[in-house]
Amino acid sequence: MKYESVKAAAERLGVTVRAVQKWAAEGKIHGAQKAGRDWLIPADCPDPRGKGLNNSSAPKQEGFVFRQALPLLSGKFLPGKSLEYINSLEDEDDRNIALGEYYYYTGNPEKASEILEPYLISDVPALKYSAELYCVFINIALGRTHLAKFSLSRLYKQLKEGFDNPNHPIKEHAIGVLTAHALNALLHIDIHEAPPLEEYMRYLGGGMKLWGCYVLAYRAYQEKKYEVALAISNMALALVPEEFPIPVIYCRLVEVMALLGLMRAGEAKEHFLKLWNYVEADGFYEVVSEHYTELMGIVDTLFKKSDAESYAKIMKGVKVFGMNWIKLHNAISQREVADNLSSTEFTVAMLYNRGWSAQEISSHLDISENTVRSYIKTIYIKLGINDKKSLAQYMLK
Amino acid sequence: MDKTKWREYTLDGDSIRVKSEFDKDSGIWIEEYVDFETSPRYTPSGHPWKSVTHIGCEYADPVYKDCGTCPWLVKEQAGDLIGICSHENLRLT
Repeated sequence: MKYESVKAAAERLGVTVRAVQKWAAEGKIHGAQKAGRDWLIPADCPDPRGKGLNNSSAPKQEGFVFRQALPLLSGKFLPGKSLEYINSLEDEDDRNIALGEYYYYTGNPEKASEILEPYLISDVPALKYSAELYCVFINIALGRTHLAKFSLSRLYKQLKEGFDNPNHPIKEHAIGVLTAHALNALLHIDIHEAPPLEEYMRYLGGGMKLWGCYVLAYRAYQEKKYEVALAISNMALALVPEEFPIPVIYCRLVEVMALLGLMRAGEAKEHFLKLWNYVEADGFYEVVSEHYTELMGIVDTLFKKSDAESYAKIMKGVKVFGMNWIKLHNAISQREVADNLSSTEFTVAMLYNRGWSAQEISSHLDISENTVRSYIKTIYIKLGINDKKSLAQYMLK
Repeated sequence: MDKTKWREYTLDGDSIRVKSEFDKDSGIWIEEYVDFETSPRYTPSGHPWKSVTHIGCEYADPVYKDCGTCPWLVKEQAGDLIGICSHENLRLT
């Protein structure tokens, strides 16, 4: 039999080395041989995905398959009680998925990856789907752009199969529609056509409904309909109880972004401090890191000087997620977002592109007007442009 | 390697020497322009020097509202970040 290294197998199967080692140790790769501390993998071994993990105790119920998807994101718990909530989940797989989500949101993508990757081969759609979705973002956070791209294509394939299946249970279908829209919004891409999310909102449960509102608001924000984005977020937060901390953070973030879009910087800062209580309670800093560029200087002005610890926690995620996200975006979309600017340069460029004057940027970021002009000049040189029209092509919509 | 170099911009009978410094972090040469907003400068025939990042006037592109996108900005070379405004109404007489 011809063998290959774990690394080669990982590349062939589009997963991490760790996942292959784990599958080999669990006997999921037929013919794998232990060689010292590592494994020899049969070069022609089939992809173990699709054979099933069969480690779920969750019953497969027709129409309710996706009920337990994203248990932490959609979970109802008091701020600061996420770990208690996770431990209270009866199903072991749900607990594992929720723990993986917890590690992702608290800025430990390595641990999240370790827990979630084995579920990529689960035959329970809700578990597989949860793992696939988080693996896209975990791989971005870990700088594994090629794996993020691979996870994304697998997830789209899974979603498409659902959309094309007329017998797809409606609740499962609604989660799929939400996911497709969420990916398009979060990654600033538009490569997957999905049915309108508005038509499926009624089939989503409380936490997912609130997250769905975030996606709708985010889309309005991206279309520069800032008042609409603000209205959707406000209404969602008023109608859905604030017992779903993660979607609440997401919705409040869009509020802040929309207020910035409307150039109401003072109110945006006040709103950010409100959502910060939710972020700090459980340490969900990654949600803020994901939106750093669109918070256009809020994080820097509030925390850089006065709360270095919080600032460091957010920037830890920004440093890796920010640049790697742009790499993934540029690899899969027709637009090229600037990936050679520092975080401050990107913030200044975003504000300038949105019509803020040097004076307004200076006041918002608490830096001198001369410094703002110097930043703009450097941005132009780095991007090789000489007018604002060209700048727009390199910025987020 | 020499970390400083100079370039002379000549337009409408006026010349400006601009220093460039090599920024080792980004690996590019960055020119140090005079800030024409705080220190306006005119050519002998009265045309004002402008940076492409200046906020445009009523004659600027209505969408982007900057001098960089304005057709009245004349530059020595296409990619330059400074030039002079050639609009007759803005000439100092």
